[in-house]
Order: sequence, then structure tokens, then C-alpha cells
Amino acid sequence: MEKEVLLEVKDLKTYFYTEDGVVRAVDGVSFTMHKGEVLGLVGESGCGKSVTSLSIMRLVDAPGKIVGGQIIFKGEDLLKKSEEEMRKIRGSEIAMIFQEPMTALNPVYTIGDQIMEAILTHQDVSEEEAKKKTIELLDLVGIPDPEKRFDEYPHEMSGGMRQRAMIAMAISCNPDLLISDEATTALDVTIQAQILELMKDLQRKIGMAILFITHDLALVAEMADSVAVTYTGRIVEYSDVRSVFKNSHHPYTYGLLQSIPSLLSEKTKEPLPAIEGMVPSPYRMPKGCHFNPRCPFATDICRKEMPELKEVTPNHLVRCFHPVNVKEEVS
Amino acid sequence: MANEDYVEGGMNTSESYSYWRKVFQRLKKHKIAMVSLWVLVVIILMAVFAKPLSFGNNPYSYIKSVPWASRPELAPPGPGHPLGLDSMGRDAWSRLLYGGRVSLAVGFICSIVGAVVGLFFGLISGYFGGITDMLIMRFTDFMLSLPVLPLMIVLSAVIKGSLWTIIFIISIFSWMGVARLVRGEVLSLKEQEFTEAARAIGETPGRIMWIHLLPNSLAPVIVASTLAISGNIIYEATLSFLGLGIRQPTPSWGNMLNGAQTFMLTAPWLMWWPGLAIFVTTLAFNFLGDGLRDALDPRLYR
Amino acid sequence: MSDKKIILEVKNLKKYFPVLGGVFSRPVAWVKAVDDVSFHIYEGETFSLVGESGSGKTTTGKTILKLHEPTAGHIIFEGTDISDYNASQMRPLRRDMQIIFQDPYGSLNPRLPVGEIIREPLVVHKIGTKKEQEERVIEIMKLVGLRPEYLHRYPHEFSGGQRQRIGIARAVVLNPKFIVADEPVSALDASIQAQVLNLLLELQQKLALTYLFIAHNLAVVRHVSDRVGVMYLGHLMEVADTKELFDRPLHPYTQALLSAIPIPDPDVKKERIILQGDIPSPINPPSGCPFRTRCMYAKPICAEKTPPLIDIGDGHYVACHFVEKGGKTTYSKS
Repeated sequence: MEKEVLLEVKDLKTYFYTEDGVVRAVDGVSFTMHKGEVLGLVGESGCGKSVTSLSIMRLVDAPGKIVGGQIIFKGEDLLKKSEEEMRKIRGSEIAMIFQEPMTALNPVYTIGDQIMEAILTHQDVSEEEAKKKTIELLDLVGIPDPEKRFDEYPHEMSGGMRQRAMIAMAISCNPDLLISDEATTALDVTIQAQILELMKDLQRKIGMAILFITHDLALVAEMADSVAVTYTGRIVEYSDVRSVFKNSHHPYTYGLLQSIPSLLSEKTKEPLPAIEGMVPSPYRMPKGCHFNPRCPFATDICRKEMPELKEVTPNHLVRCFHPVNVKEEVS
Repeated sequence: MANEDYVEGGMNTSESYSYWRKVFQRLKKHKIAMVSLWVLVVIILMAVFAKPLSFGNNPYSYIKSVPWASRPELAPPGPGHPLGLDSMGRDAWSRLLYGGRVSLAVGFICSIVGAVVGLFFGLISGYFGGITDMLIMRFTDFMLSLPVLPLMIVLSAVIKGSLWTIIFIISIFSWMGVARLVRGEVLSLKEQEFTEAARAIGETPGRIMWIHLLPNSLAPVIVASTLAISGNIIYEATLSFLGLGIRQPTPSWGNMLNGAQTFMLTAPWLMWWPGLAIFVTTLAFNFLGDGLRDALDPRLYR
Repeated sequence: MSDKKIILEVKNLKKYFPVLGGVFSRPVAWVKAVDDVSFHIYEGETFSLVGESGSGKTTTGKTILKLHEPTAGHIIFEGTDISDYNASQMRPLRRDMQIIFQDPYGSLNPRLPVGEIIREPLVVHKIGTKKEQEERVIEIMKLVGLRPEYLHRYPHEFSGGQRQRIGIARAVVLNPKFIVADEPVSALDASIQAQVLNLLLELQQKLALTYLFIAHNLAVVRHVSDRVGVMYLGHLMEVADTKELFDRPLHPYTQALLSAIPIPDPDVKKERIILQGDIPSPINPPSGCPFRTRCMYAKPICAEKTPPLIDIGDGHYVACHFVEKGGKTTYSKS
């Protein structure tokens, strides 16, 4: 059964005009999300993943500017909407959770009040109903004693609790799309496990799609249905999660997976196969494929031209002139 | 490393630039600050080259007579005396130039003394904390609570007013703001890991303060000191205007105003020029200070 | 194992931080960051301390170097008890014990050129003439993979991975014996982590270093360590050889921790032990065993008595009432 297309990002370009030059944070990113799908957007610092999510929410501030592309959400281009219309969408149809919950939670209001406000802003219900719904939500996200916690302030809660509260606020209006921007990065491993379970659980219950942004490949392997690997503002590999992990075609993805210490490897205390060099400075991007200075397979053409994102094996897009591991797709 | 030549080992720029050069670059974008900087350079040069610029005149001689006026005293501007003569028959132009030396000297020296003393107290207070901090801060608070101008007036009435006593008197009250600023910077710098790294190497507190804390605390000190120059010039002008600061016959912009008061209606130009000089100089230092504050913005730390 | 020399021993180490309050800034409570921790490190090995926030692993590392004064307990470095040493007594020892910090941005003085940062330890300890010092700096920069031409540049001109190399250079320039590596790769991008880990391993070989490696990423820890200590709320819960710990974790917390690690393989479906509740605050830790509030095997004795860290054999230590010598486990769900 073909799932309905929820979000289509086409050739999105967001540039930052700083005093040191132009930073092409997002430079031609395209991907598609279906209803209920979890897409993992993964990359290191400077890859543009956070800016992508901010662009979708139209929250990019000066010196940044969305300079091109389309963001088609439920059939309509978000880039053509007015600020007024966007405000109706944010929080109700598209919700976002961040790495640091304190940026989303106002320290001078109780979390109960804040969640209620989110509900009342977008839904036409009475205060009583909103309060009831809020307590239900707090319970749903696993906050014990929800009636008591309703009156607590953010600083009175632990990191894990705050993150749950933020999730409660985000799902209060049953959004179609949840954007999770490094939401578990700052959490301890055992708390992170809790939150990921919660997110998976909620996703099943509510049927929302999740744009899961992270730098941690392991989290993506766990959470995502499809994966888009980004590098310096562009997607370099895009396919379902198994294909990307088990049969990576882009040298960057492949190199990255090789360089992560595995819990199962026998070769401890030996040098890891590391990717050489470093992520280029945004002010001095290499010509041609941005990855070429670090790529063991780079040839002349890689240093001159930027490859296109092309289907190399069925439903597996790669941006490379010399994709690796091109054999039968693992079914 | 692979193809490192292209990305130059990941360096952000092809040539090295130090913090100060970057600061100057940012300052250059601040038009008003740059204009002020040039104005100040001109004013300073004029004060330095007061002798040749006086066209043979000097601030002390009493001119016997001038062709275009009946008496030398309060003679209006004319050839050889672009600003005329003051009430004692002295060339006003050269007095203005030499007076500039006094005002600028006071402004700079008091500011520098204030910065040095403030840095000293702020560093010690911030780094050692505890009783030391408490004592120094209470002392600073005490000094800040004193009425500055009345005390300066009293002190300069009591101590004979030469240039150096005036500098001394104004300096006494110039260090407190800097001390507080530096202490604040040091408190936050102390928590940064490079300070811990210095301790891990076994550095003495003195070295840590000199090499690590001081250079990183300079930004607010520079801004505060630049802005303070204006204040110091005004203090000197006020004291001299009240007849307490620089005593005659040494010219200063302040005592020139004092001398010109009585003749406001008959020879207004004697008041305009020193007044304008004070106004322009202090305004320029203020704009420069603002520009520096923007240029030194901590966003430069990356 | 018995012929290995012990280079560092920590005995009943405690570090409490006062929480000041009231008009006179009196201590109103104590953050029990490190609460009775004992372990030893052999010469030439990599001993890792792992734990989540509040575990006290970083504080332990810094207290060992006397960057914090210990509240109680003993630190014995190469046979000398340094717990009460003052700053001038510590100074000569600091040539032998160094630290690499987590934050590649905050750990370097932004006003000093990189060459000066690396040269500084030599200057402080008055080693060599200026020329000799400069030569040594170039030698070390090459050793850690930095181009010596850049020694006049400032930290902000380098990338995160390079800055970390500068920090490493600074730590090894005096040829120390022992280095506390405090989360050295946690703040780095994934593609750079492997480079820096490789460098650390390489340096350990070349310079015969002993590492106290502090981290929260267990996969990294497994890769670099010989032995691992697991900390929770200021207590050591389990210590063992790396392979032993990962193959046979005996403490309930270690088990939960290991199961919580995400694996970068979509085919591996994990049976997760999901701990309930949050990590308690170290200001008011639970009585008895600090882990009891989240442990699924907790019984009344866990609240009454703090389980001691006992040697259950082969260098494997566990602090749990339900793990006996020999490794037999007697815990059961209530």
C-alpha cells in the first residue's frame, strides 16, 4: 500500500550572509516523507541538518535566508505562506523538539500552563478540557504523578523529565510531523533509551511522521525507516535504513560506519580505519565534490565537478562518481 | 593527509590573523568610530606639534600690540593670531594648542593609571576570591560611593594644583569601574578549562594571571578606559574652570574657559574654541569607545 | 597480572562540594561527587572510568591530579601519597601527570599562539633554552599530526579535531608517565573521533603512557581500554578487565547501561533493560546503594547498607549485595 506523501522538500537552499563570507548551509537538499514514516537526517557539524529543519519551520533568522527550493507540506508550499499561516501550522501540524529543552520551555511558567497554552492556541476547547488533556498527555509521555507535575516549573525537573514535557507539548495537537533536532544528544545513555522508547511508542500510537535529526548513526539505525546522509549542505546518500547501513554506496557513509568503534568487534586497541582530513571550513569549500580531499577513491573528475544525486541501485540515491559496494541490493 | 593542500589542513583562512587584527577590521566598519579616530589623531598631532603650529607665538608672552586693534587685550582674530588674543594679551591659538597637551595628557594618563590599578585589583580579587576578594570589593564599593567631584574640588583646593597633582587626584577615582569589570571577567575565565590546564601544568598564580587571565580580560578594560578619557578631560576642565585645577599661566582648555567667562559678550570666540575643543574631543572618544565595544564583542571567540 | 607495576592507587577517595547558602554563604548541603572510591591503575595500561552525569568520573580524574583538593582518602602516585601535597610540592610531579580536556574550544587560551600553548609547560618547568624549547614544540606538533608551519596561528583558526591535537601536544610535551584523558573525543565529530583515538593509542605505544580514560561512550571505552570501572553517583559499581566486563557484566547497573547503548546496525534488535526514573541528584543520594531507586532487583537491605566493592575473582570487582565471590548472582525481581 503506497503511503501518502506528507512532506516533499525540493532543492532547498538556505544561505547565511556573514561578515566573513557566504555560508551555503543547505545547498540543494531534496527528500520526501510519507505519513507515519521516520526519516533519519544524519550528518556531522556543518552538514546543514539543523538548518534544514529550521527552514522547514520557517524559523531561519538573519543573517540566514532561504534562497531557493520548495517545501511542500500536505500539498502546499510552505515557503509561499505568510507568517500568519505558518504560525497556525507550527505547533499544531508540524512540531519540533530540541536538544536543550530549556529553549522551548519558558522558565517562568509551569509546564502545565505551557502545554495548556499550546493546546488553547490551536484548538477550540475550554480551559477545563485543555487542562484535562494536558494531564493525559503528561501521563502519556511517562511523567509520574501528572496532576502534581502540572504545577512544576521546568527548573524543578530533571533533564529527562523536561524532555518528556517538551514532547508532551509537541504532540499536544496531534501533529502530522514531528521534527526531533538532536533531542536526545544531551541526555545520558539510560535516559536516552527511555526517551527513544517513548518516541517509538508515541509514533505508533499517534501515527505521526518523525524527521529525526542527529549526528549519531546508531540512533538512526534504531529509529529510522529511511536515512538521508548529509555532508556540507547536501545529501550524499539516501535510501531505506538497511540499505544505507548494510550496503553503503557513498565513501563518506561507508568510511563513517567503518570508523565507529563497534561493540562487537574483536579488534580492540588497534587503529580504527579513520576518514582522513577534516570537514572543510564553510568559507573554503573544495571545488568539485566537497568530500574529495578526504576520499580515498577521488579522481580528477571528483576535483572538478559536483556529482548529482542519482539512483545507483533501486531506491538508493548516491551523490558520487565512484559509488562503492555496488552489487545486488540486499533484499 | 589527503589532498590537504586544498583545504590547507582545515585552516579557516589562508593567512594568520591575530585577535587584534580582527578587532581592527571590525572597527573599520564602524564609520563614526573611524571618523572619530582620525579626528583624535589630528587633535593629538596638533597638541604634539604645538610649537611649530604656533607660528612663532607662545602661550606665555604678552603681545605688546596688534595693528588691527586698539589694545592687545581681547584683540579679535587677525593675521598671525588666528584666534586673537586673550584678556592678558596672549595668543589664544597657541594657548589652545598647548592647552590641548594638558587636557589630553590628563585624559590619557589618568585613564591608563586607572586601567593598571583596576586590572591589578580586579585580577587579584577575582582569582583569589575569599577574604581578599571581599576586602578589595568592599574597598571598591566604598570608593564608588564617595562623591567624586566635591572631593576632587576639596583635594585640589588643599593640594597646590600642578599638572601632576591634578593627574594624581583624578586618578584616585578612576580605577573602580575597571576593577569591577576585570573581576567579573576573571570570575568567568577562572571556570574555563584553559585556566585549569594552566594549573595542571603547575603554573604559579602570578603567571596564570599575567599570561592567561589578563589578556582575556582586556576587552572591557579597553572600552571602559577609552570612554573614561572623556570623563577625565571633563573633570580637569571642570576643576580648572573653577580655578582649582591647572593654575595660570599654564593653559588648559578648562582654565581658558574660566578666563573667557567674563568676556562672553565682548569676545565670545575666546570661549567658543576651548569649549568646542573639549566637546569634540570628548565626543570623539565616546564614539571611539562605542566602536571598540562593538568590535571587541565576545562573538569573536570561536 | 601480579608482575605488573601499579602506577596509581586511589583509596577511599571522597570529594564533596559545598552548596553555599544563607546570608553568610555557609555550606547548607554537600554535593557528594566522589563518595568512597578505590581502585588502582597498572603502568602502561588504559583504565577507563565510565558513567553518566553525576557519576563523579570527571571529578575523580581531576581530584587525582589535585585540581580539586580531596575531601578525604588517599591518592598514591608511584608509591608516594600525594593527597596532602600543596601546590609547590605538586609542581615537580606535574611533569609526570597531565590532563587532556574534553572541550577543544575552552581548553586553549584564545590569546596565545598555538606554539606558545605547547611550549608553556617547558617554560614553567624551566626545561631547555628557548631554542631547544621551540625545537621540542615542532617535534611534538609533528608527533600529533599538526603542521609545524602553523605554530604562530591562534586556536580559533583550527578545527575542533586539530584543537584537540593541540591539547594532546600540550599534555605530552613534558613526556609524562600518566595522563588523565577527560572525555577526549566526546565533543568531536564522528569522522574525527577515530583519528584522535588512533592518535591516543599510537602515543601510548610510542611514549609508554598510562591513561585514565574518562568517557560515557561505552563503544569507545571498549575499544581503547584494558580495564574498566563503572561509576554511579560517586560510587564505583563494577571494575573488571574490558572483555570480562562486556561479556559478563554482573552489576545490574552495568547490565542496564550496556543494554541501553544504541548499535549502528538496523538488524540487531535489542532486548532492552529500560531503567525507570531519573538519575538522583548527588546532593541527596539514596541511602545504602545509590542505584537502588532504579534497580529492578532492589530489596530492603539495599536501602540499609551500602554494598562494598568486593573482589569476586580475577580482578573483577562488584558492589552489589546479590553478587558473591566467584561471580554467583543471587538477585531476583521483587
